[in-house]
Amino acid sequence: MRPDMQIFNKHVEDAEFQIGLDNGMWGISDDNPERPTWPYITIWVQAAAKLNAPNIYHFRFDLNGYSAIAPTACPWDVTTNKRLPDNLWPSGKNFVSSVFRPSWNPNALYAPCDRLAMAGHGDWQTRHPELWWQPTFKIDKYLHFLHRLLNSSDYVDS
Amino acid sequence: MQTIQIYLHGEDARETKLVEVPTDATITDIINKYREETNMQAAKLEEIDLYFEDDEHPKEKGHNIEHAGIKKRHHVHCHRCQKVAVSIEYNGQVKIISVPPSATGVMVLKKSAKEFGITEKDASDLLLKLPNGDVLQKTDHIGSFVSYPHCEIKLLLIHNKQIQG
Repeated sequence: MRPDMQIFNKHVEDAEFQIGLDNGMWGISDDNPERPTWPYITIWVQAAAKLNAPNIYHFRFDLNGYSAIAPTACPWDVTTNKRLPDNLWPSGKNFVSSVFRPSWNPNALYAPCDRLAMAGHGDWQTRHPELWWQPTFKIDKYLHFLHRLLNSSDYVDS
Repeated sequence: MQTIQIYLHGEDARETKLVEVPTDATITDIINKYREETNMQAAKLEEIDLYFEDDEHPKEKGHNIEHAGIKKRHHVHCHRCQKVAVSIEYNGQVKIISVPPSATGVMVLKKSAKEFGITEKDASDLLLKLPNGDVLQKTDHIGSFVSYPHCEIKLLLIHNKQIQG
């Protein structure tokens, strides 16, 4: 088994991920223990009730090199197994839309814990140190961040 | 021997443990398990209490799991502080609230917002930051960041920042 997959499997067994799972905050969309799609894993995150919006969003994570290397993720349509169309990405009035920006990069999130966004944004290390991905981080750090966005009034009221 | 899994949170122990305990274990047995798992053997057994999540009443140490009402994947918290004084700074103002060590991030945020007259809805755009700059997550227990005998912590209540740059 690849070391990155081994670390990921350990982290999803740990209490932090399991607590989120038990609380209905997130879960692995296709939890095949063989992980046939590795390094791509789709994880759903619960969202607050909002008119014409789903109550969960799926995100396809690229976990190549996890956790030494930061993950990258984008909203995913599990029925077509393709990237979620831009107009269906989560939106908000303020900080939520600053993260879900398909016009910036349709394959990543504009976040300090996202590998593709970290490149070229070294200043985030001091501006958002709690989110700037560290090799010691576990996947739940990224998921807590998404869950917070999708359960904010900024998201609900947009 | 039959066992059940429980989440074990504890004093100044950021990493929550998912542990197996025998179904006939007592509260004292669970506290001892916590002492082993977290290298807290130096702490006296009689000083440590066990709390349910968001509950301020310590459980009777002689009770067993069934009597105490502990179910599969229940969250329990072992701590020597009976209360935690949480000092919250928001917009230059400081207020202090008292919560049990097993108070979750959700409970602390709700109580903090109430102290500052912020509605629950508006509070969902706020977050609490720990002294080291990390976010107090919804599922964290405040006692996991608090040591005995200090039993206090300072938090910053701030707005979710827009990611820019």
